[in-house]
Amino acid sequence: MEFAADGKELKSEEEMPFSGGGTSLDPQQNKRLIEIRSTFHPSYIPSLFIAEEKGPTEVTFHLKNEDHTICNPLREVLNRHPAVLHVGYTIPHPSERLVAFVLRVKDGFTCQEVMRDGFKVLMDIFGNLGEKFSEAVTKYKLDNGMQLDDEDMAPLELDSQRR
Amino acid sequence: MSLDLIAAAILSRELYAILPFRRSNMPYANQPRVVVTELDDEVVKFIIENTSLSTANSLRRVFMAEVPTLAIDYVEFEQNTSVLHDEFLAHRLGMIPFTCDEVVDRLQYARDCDCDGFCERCSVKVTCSADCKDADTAQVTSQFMRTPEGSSVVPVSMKQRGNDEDYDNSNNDHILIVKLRKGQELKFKAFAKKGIGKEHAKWNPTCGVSFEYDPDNELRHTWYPKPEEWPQSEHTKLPRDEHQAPFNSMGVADRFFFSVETNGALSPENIILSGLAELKRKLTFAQSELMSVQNDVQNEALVIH
Repeated sequence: MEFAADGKELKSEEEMPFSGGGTSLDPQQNKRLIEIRSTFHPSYIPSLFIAEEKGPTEVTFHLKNEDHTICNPLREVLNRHPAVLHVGYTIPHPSERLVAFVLRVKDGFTCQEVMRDGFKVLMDIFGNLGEKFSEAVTKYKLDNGMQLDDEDMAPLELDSQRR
Repeated sequence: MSLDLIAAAILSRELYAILPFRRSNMPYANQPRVVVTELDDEVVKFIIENTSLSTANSLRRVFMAEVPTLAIDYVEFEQNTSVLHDEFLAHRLGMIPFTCDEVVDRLQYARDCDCDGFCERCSVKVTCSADCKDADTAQVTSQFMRTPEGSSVVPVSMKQRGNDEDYDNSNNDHILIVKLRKGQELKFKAFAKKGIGKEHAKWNPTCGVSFEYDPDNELRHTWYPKPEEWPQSEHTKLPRDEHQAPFNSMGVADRFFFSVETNGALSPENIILSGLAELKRKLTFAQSELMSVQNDVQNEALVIH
């Protein structure tokens, strides 16, 4: 069993569960851990680290293997969150797949719960869009006399049963 | 909620600041509307209303870069005496789209599969055996790619249109891979794997995602030196002689006109549904990472140094 400088047990590579993230509260101390995880880290699994924490209300997250696709809507959603004082993100260099996401919240809230709220709202939005799109496709197919696939039929049957 | 927070909210008329944070109170989470204007087996055109520019842009990015498809990723040449060298041919083979509507969801990524090499759960085997015996130049096209018998994964040009069992697809445009002279032979074994457009453009299922908003430039997101030189968009609300709507300073980008065209690998509705599912999966993953980081932070505090 190996031990890192801060006393945490380092798991061997085979025992490490196949997930992406981890803490890097102190990148220097946990460097070895990060190195191990990133050497066999396939390039497309995203992960989230806390890079700087100036207190529970002011945190910079480092999101690895992410880009504007989720960070832009997340930033926009969090801007409307009543507890947020400042939110922004930047991509330090396009060659490196890293997003630095800065979040500052009012006293009495923590950054983690605000981020969690942001993710939840975004998931609602995209889930809602998916349902609306499926309904729109079904409606188009009905209006134009096209054959309905199995996926389209299910919500339609429920509707007719309700009536 | 503390009193000064409530007072500040009332002063700034931000009523939602004093109500408990629920999705229904979020002014951002309004109800989007989706209308499909055109749908066939090649293209889907739809309009999304009442959503924000960043979500619409995320959709566009996801359709192109993060919808998983199948494409050849590993080629073993047994015999190649054609004029193109091995890696040239392998590159061309990778760019051939394969129909993978139902299959791609069931397949795992090859890096996640616990098999040694390739198996049916993470890949589809593609073979080809072609040679030229007559004096004419033989063309090796995507018609020569063979997938396992009964598999629904075929090169796109071989797709069965309609329900005819003996549909003759010699009229289709097959993708030309290489031309062979008399005596030249091409024989290889390849594996098609699951991947996303971010990794390599061969896994991009779209031929183009057209994305438009504010067709009359009401928001002045762009500036035309001579508006009359620019043709009117098909979604315009202006009469023929007007070229630009008057500036609306309080306007917000609200209606987005999408047109998603597929290269045949996935059907257009599947691209969109798969894209939305991918987005949700990314968000779920990021959220779980956040939770694990939070737990680690709490555990870190308990460790005695």
